Amino acid sequence: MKPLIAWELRQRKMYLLWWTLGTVLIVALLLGIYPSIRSQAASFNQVINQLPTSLRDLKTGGGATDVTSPIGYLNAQLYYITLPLLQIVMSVGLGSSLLARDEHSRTLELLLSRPISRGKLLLAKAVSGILLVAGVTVVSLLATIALASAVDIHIPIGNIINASLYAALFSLSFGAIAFAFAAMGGRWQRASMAVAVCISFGGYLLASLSGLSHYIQTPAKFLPYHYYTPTSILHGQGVGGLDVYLVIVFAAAAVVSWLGFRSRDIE
Amino acid sequence: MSIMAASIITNKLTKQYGSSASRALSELSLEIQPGEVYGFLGANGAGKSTTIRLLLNFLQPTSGSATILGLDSVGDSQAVKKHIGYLAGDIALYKKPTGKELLDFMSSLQPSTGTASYRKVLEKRFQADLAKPIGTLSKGNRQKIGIIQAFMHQPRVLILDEPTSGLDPLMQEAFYQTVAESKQQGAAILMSSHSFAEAEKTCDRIGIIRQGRLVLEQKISAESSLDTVIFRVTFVKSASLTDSKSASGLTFVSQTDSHSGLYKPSGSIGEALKALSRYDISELSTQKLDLEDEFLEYYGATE
Repeated sequence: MKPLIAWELRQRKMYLLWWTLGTVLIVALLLGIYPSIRSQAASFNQVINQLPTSLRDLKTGGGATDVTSPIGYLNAQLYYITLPLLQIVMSVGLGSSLLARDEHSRTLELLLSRPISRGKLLLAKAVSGILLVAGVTVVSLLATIALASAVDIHIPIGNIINASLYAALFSLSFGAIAFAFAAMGGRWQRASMAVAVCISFGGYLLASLSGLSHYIQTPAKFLPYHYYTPTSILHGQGVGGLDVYLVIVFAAAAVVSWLGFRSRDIE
Repeated sequence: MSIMAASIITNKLTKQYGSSASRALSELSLEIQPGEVYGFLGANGAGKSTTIRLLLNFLQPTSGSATILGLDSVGDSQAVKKHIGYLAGDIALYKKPTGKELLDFMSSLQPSTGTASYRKVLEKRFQADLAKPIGTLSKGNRQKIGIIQAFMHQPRVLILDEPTSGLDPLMQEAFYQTVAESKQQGAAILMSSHSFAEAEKTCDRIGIIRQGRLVLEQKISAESSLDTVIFRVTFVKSASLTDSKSASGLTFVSQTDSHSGLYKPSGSIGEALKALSRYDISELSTQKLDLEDEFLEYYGATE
């Protein structure tokens, strides 16, 4: 399996480089402007608190409303939207293409003509995707720790590591959904990216706005963003139901991928 | 032939796609022995590639089965592939890596059999440009890399889909030499082709497939019935043409116009001439029936 993973990573080394650069630049930009926002904390918070609750929740997830405090800022600017957004786009792109790209270009036949079981191939592709997202996460985490210290954001490093880890796992869960759909082939494969994007961003909107109406409070409990509360993680208060959600999604994606790919026709 | 266990056996192998009414492959039964080169001929869409993809477990059979070296092509697919060399038709290779990087990668996926020296022989024989990214190579040069990856681990079974596509005559000869070496080492080779000359030159036996059905299997040898004489006969009266279709000693092949037709002798040439002597004939000529005629007989005359 190692040669398959090494091959996949090698094929995507420029992809990894550009994603890492882009993410680090955005982290640097967001943390770089923190000192000027902190210096205008009172007026900034006034503006934020004058927003309708729905708009404020879209930004903060209903967490801390003091968006100029270290945790409030990291939550609102980095961990609730920006970092997951970037990593969801990356994960879903990978999930829908890791297998499908080889299948469309017919290089999948080249791999499967060798003595490799479909299960191992699937696992190698999934591990490659996880390693690519992990690579971007580690570099952006190091940048976050270094820059947070430079702009006087003093949060325990363990909490920042946890926030980055869960942001990555949360994003990977959408990649896993795309991967499972892509593994099933045919029309499922073509729908993989659209389904994962709808669940992630549609879920973000519904879960963030669930406080507005009791009609969407119940369905929101079935959506991933409902369980994603980076404020709690940055406070070191645990991850709520996120662990359970992640285990269910990854287990379901693994089973669906394997059942869908193990004995289907290669296109 | 039946004394030796066949390397490739298909038993009523059938493939039907989804809700399609027609079968892409219908009850294909064939056997290929160790050291035998089997040519698989047919028009586009006849079922050649479907057969090959079923053998490699890229497709799941609707019914029937296939065994390779005694192992089930579906249940034992991984074990089977330790012994298979495969070249896809219109081969698709990764574009960014060089030929050397791809061959190194493909070698790493195959159990080591100590055949690095044979890879070097093939690289030299095919004069493949292994230093450039594959995406920058011509079709012929990509085909050479495809051939090397299929043969380099000296597999016991080779499945080759139109292997000489894009090769110049010199490289075609190099390919025939490589096939001959593998055959000599006892490999069973299934090779689909559009070239009759290639099939006659390379294969021990051919099978013609049409609309998913194997319509003819034929040995390629000096005694083969492919060397049968065919009569081109023009009758004075058109009624003679109708009457002659059921004449004993003759096998009617096809009608060429209102007074003319093609016939094969059912038995000896003498009996065929005796049968023809009963009719008023204005013109009679003979020709040798070759592989291409046989193919066209099954395709042209019956379309």
